[in-house]
Amino acid sequence: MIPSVRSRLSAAAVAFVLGFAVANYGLFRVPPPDQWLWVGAAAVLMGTSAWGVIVADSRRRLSVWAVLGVELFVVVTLVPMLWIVTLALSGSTQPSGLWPESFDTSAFGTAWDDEGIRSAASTSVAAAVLATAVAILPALALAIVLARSRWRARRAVHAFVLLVVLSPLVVAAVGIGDLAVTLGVSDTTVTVAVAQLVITLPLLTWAFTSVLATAPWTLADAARVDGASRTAVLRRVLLPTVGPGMLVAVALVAVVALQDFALASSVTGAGDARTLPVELLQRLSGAVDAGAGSNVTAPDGPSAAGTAVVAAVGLMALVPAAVLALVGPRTLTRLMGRSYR
Amino acid sequence: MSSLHLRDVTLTAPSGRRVLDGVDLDVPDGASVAVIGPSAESRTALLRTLVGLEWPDSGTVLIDDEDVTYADPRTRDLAMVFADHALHPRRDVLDNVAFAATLRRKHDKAALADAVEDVLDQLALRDALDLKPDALGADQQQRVAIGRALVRGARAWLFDDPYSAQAERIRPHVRSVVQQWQAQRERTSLFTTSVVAEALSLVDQVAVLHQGRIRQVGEPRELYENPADMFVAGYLGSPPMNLLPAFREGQQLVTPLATVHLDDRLAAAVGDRPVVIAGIRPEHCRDATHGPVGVEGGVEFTTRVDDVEWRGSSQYAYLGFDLEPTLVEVLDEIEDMFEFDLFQDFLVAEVPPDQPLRTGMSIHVVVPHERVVLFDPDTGLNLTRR
Repeated sequence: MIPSVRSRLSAAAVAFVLGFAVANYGLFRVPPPDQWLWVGAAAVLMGTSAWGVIVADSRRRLSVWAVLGVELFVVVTLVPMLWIVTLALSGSTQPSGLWPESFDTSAFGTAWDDEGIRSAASTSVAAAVLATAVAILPALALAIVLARSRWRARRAVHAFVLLVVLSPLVVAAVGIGDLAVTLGVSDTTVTVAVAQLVITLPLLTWAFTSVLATAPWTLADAARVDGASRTAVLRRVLLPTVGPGMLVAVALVAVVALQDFALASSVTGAGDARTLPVELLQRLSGAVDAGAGSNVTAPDGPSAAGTAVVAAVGLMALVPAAVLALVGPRTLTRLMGRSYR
Repeated sequence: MSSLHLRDVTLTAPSGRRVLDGVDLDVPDGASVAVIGPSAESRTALLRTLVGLEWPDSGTVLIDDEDVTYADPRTRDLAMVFADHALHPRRDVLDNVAFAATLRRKHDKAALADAVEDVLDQLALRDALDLKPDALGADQQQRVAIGRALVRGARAWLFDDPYSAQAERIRPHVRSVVQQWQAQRERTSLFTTSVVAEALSLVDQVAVLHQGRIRQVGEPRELYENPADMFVAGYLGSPPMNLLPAFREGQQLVTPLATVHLDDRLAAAVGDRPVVIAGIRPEHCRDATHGPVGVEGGVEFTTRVDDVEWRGSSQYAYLGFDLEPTLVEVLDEIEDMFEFDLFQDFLVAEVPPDQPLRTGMSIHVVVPHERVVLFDPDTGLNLTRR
């Protein structure tokens, strides 16, 4: 479908107004070097506007709105990222603008050597792996029931799983945190893992159900007719076809568990079982000493150096996600959604 | 070599529908039987029950007098071609066909390879040996599925609509390959098909499955010429049997187009029923417009041709008529009972293809008396069945 001239011209108009506003604000209100970021953004928007007018009546299949959308997406995601990079590179000085002024990588070294962060990171990984691993079998059993059985209550269970997936984690966190305190089991990795089951179990059930929905069940039937035992069906038919999808599901759920803050913070306090997100946010809010490199503990926030360390850890925590993204969203979606029927 | 039996088998689908409702079916040793009927769900359910993938709500499944109703599928030693082919996406054609044999720990690799290549050769898949199913067309996938079943030395073969994806041109070849294997190995086989004509020409016996019940079992000719009820009559044949409502008036039966004299046979069949349904096959309507056709004492009528269908090797005249609204209601009730469209507001007559026929022409039709079939409007049963 070719977008109408009118749609393209309105997109161009919106791009122009946005660009004009950004340019004015940048030129009159923002000091250099950030001024150049603003001017650059304004230039891109105005360029989009001009291009939109030029191509308005062309017959090519391109949408000016889509281009504008991509530009906004880039700004919204890249600005916080740029800010983290600037913070991480600022060393012990408070950065004044978005654009990094110094190139001080000491924060990375400090973060790497910081015992608190190291132990938080390992707690995170251990708890997420444990929570995911424990959830695999029950989630698989439930998913098989949801995907395959003729059980009447199937839809109700499905709805319940969705409800748990969608319900605010804070609700569960309050209950679990209180329970952990009552039972006196706060501040252990196992408690964190048990709490995170609230995420991993329903999410994994959900993911497994959609993976199993694409499973070649008639193929399994055919194999049974051909004389395969149940284990042979599992080993030779089901695992090779849905196995990769299940692995991806497990990996994604583990990554989600790694990012959990609400549950982990509800069952940990000043003890040793803080996970990485909890540790970082506590440091930002000044509840915990900002760590090595700074002797100042600010009651209303961490020192500049402490913030730099947190930012550096945040950047390093991005690496696994970046690796997944590099493996390719195509590979992931193909493995997840591939139909074998 | 085995016989298969279903005894009073009832099966409810996940949807809650009775797909099998007291089915009795016997497939004798070495015989080839086809199950036909409008519901693919029912046909497939029958095969799945036999093979052990469904457990019936009630009834028994026997293989050679051995009760296997709840036995594991792998112990039944039956081979089945699934309607959706059920090929392994990660294995090439060769591996797919050899799959069953490779499940056994000890198998003669050379003999297996020979058998596999042999059947794939016959099924015109020689060039596709190392391709994955994704790279094949639907017709080729179906032939791979057929090959996989044939290579298995099973006690019996079950085929679920096995030629549905085959092009018109290659169908006869694939059918003959299957028939050859069957004849050489004298293997019991059970087909299902949505193509009635295919079933009629293929097998020793045909079973008509409708509304979960077996309506009639018999040789194809028997079913065609002597249908048990209106459904079998209307389901077999293309175009199907003409079914017309008929009133008894004294010694005559009045239908919308013609009046039938009640001879002893028909009178006995009608009994004291005021209304019956008369059935006439299109090929029994002879065109006598251009002179006598050697039928004595037949049902005769003259009407107008409303439409002509010329198929090259055959030609059909469509002769329209009007029905009273009260009669239409009766017919609708019968259709509801059978859940099938049986009645039209025209009669189809087969006319030799070389005869010039045009819409609006007048046509004189003669039907041999003994070809008129009568059905009970309440039960649908054939009253003239021999």
